[in-house]
Amino acid sequence: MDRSDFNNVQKCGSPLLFLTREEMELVHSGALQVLREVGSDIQHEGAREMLRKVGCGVKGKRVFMPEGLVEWAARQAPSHIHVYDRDGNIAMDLGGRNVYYGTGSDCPTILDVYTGEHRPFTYKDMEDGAKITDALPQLDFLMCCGLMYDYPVTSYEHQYAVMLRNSTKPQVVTAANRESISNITKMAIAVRGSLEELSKRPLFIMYNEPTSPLNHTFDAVDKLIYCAENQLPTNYSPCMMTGATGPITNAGGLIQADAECLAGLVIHQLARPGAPIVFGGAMYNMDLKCMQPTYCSPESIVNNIALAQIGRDLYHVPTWGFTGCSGGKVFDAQAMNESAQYVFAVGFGGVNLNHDVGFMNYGLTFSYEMLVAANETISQMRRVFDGVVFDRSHMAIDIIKKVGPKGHYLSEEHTLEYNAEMWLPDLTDRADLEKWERDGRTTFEQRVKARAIDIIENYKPKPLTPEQDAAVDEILRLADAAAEKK
Amino acid sequence: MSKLSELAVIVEYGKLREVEAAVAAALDEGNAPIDVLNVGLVDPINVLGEKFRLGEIFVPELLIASRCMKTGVEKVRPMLSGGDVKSLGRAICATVAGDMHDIGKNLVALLMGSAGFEVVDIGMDVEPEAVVEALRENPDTKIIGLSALLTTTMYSMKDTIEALEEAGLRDRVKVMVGGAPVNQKFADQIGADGYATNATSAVDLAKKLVGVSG
Repeated sequence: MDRSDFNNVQKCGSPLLFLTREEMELVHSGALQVLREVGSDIQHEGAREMLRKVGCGVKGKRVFMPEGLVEWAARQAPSHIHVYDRDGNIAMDLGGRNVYYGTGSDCPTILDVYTGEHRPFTYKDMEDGAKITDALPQLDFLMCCGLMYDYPVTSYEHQYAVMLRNSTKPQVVTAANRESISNITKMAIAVRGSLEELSKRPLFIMYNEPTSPLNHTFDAVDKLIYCAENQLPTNYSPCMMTGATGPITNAGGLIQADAECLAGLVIHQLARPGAPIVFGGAMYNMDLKCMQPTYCSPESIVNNIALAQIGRDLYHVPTWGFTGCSGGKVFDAQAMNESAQYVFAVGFGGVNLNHDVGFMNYGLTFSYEMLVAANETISQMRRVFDGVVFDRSHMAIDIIKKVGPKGHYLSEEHTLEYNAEMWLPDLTDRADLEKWERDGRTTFEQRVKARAIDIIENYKPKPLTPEQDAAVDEILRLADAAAEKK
Repeated sequence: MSKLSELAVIVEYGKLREVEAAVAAALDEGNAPIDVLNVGLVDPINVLGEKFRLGEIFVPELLIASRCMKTGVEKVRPMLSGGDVKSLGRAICATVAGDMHDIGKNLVALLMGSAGFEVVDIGMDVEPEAVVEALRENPDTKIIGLSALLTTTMYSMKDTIEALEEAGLRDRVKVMVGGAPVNQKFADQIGADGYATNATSAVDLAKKLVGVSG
């Protein structure tokens, strides 16, 4: 059911904060020390030149950033980014403790809803993923779910076209390089009309990442600069496997991740001061027996929320989060448990832009059942975030007096009126045993699967206009032709 | 829309403050009191009862509409002859001795009232003798509904049925039992006539016990 009228900001007496002010300063100070003393490897000559000009030490590809420059950059970035849907309506206000949820991107495999097998992700799966995300009211934005192998060079462009055609929701996009993000931008311009309109009402946020530890690839930096120059929002999120590509402790992981985020922030703000950027990232420990990134371990949940807290409360920028994912291989109790914990945690942590709903198998497999199930979890959690409303009518003292001892509230109009504020289950079973048996004894998993299939087979997303559709086709044709030439 | 249909809509939507005026308007329009009763007041409750059974509406919607119906019935009752007001019969509901949990019993009583029973709700922590006394006071009672939430109090149901037997009244009524710890086996053991798992099926059971198909 649609509970989008619920608040996105959790309201409780004491919001979840992992770090004290002093602890945030410790992380910040540690990151400044790393950036100045250890330095960052920047694989982009233009960026190194830009950094040299403002006083950074440069030795080969290693760049040493002074504290003052880093803090200057943090002060330039805006505290809120407003993102709009395909129709031009405001969809997300990234900033403060506002919480939004969306899918993840680029999984090589999918857990087939019909057969239950793990198999390579296809074009049709991408269409299904966009449709399902569009149909689920609690999913606020869309990433491409899987990696389409149908187009080896221009897969990002084709993924974007599928997202654009099958959902009106805003997107977080992945792209190979400057060329591919500029092709994606052209498609978004085909919807908005012009680059000016697109930067005024962003339809997508670029997903971008450094390579831990402390390394910044040419393409990552180049995409950061492209987004800054065009005033298009981007993030810059390390995906650190602590114990392997970062220190295993939470505090150590946070300091290195902060340094990596800040290095990107400096380059981005130098390219265009005031350009919109989302701060934060993942520090998931590597399981040192099976050598897999744990993704949704308790430690990674703490790290994710703590780094976002630093972004929000120390640097005053919008924040990036992870959620709704699992290391499980099939849609089972483990998957649901891990997914639900993460949905709850980032919501209470007040992290803004939370992606990876639907991820399983450490982000190697996407599950549409997970996505459908998470919609129900998010819906419940948003009701929880709403907390307690206090006004005369909600306090109900008049009704308590009227009903009195041994009375009941079942026939009161007050009950009927405020029953509308109660969360209602969609796929969650609340029937008594007798009714549940009469209705076919279905499990949650079976109901989720049926819903996913129903959306895949019957949901009709709002199409692009014929003109927009033709423009997207032409952009794809040119991109494919250019790829062919190489 | 005719005034009669307007009345039915007002009852269905539970607009308590508008019922009396709507009944008067329907009568002024020239409708026979019996039609005002059946079409304007009872039919919408039957519609809601079915919707509730199917899980389409919430219990307060049904109960508030029932309050509307009762208010309307009081208004037309003086104009009806005795046989016009159809009832499924009188029923006594009680939470048994030792038990202070009555929300389930209340729900059953309210839903039975909505379905057309004349319910005498004698409250909670009711001693077996008090049930017998209530039956003496209401000799036309067809059903006694007994409720308990606790495993420690459910045996009061057995005591109550035995009290009815000792008073020589057991054969005059059907006894139905319910509550979280109760099941069909227990109902059979203590000699009850029926058991239901929830309030909706309790109404169906009550109808079956008085010979009206649910």
